[in-house]
Amino acid sequence: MSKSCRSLALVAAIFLLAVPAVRADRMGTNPRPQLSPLTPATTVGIAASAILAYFGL
Amino acid sequence: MNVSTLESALWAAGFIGHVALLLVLVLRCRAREFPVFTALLAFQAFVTVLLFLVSRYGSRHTYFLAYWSTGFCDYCFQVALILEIARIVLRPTGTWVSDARRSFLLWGVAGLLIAAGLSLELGSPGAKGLDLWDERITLFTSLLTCELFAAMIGAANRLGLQRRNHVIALGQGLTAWAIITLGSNVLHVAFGWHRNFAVYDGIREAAYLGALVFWTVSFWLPEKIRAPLSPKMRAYLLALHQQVQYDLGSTNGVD
Repeated sequence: MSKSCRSLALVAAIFLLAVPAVRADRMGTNPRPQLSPLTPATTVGIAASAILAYFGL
Repeated sequence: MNVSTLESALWAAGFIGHVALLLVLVLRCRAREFPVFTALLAFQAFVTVLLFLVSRYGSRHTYFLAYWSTGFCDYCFQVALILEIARIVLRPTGTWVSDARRSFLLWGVAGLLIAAGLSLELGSPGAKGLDLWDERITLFTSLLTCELFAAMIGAANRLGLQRRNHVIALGQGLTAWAIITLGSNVLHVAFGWHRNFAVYDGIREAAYLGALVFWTVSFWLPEKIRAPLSPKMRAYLLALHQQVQYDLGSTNGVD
């Protein structure tokens, strides 16, 4: 697998890890915290990880 | 963390439901056939205990971290559960039925694209920035769960595959919960994402408890035994078998 393919795969993996973690339709009946985890800080963190993964590999 | 009486009742009922269903799966020897479903129930029971302890002895921020850090595992279990149902229905003998995998993958990819397109189009009035993306992500995963299950059922129906009671019950419960969740999410988007927050969660949780009760009863009851072959059909198959044996013998004799 070429370098760019691996980089793109890693970027996709980061988004696939990040997206399901913040959704609201969880199984079970555990009370949901009032605040969403999708804050400016976490969004910047996800974006920075993706950019680092793309250029770092 | 402040938890209302209704939230506490739903929370406790969910834990009792998970443990009861887990016991039914183990006692009735269904765990080996449904390993992902069994693991999901054990995971949910564990997370409930963990979150209860955190809410009791930890801070609000710790609960926030504990709740959201288990979100990825929860979604993996949802997708793995659909794949487990697909494995049982579309691979009844351990190998994929011809064309079943292709059909399932094609419909699955189509569902993924439709879910992505609809999620990007929908959005509550006035929502913008991260709130809008929060809505889109939740709608996307809700739609994807419904569509993956529809793809699996579509592939099974198109190929005329027989489905058994327990796996049907598992699929029906999951679909009913996913559709009600999707409906409550659409209402949530239509009337504002953060208004009446608890009501929409209550609908989703009540639907989930209903699915737990349905699964507990279904998995406790034995599967229907297939009707035996009629004497006419048995005679036909015997004659066909003898004919094939004779033809094979003749072919070997010629060689």
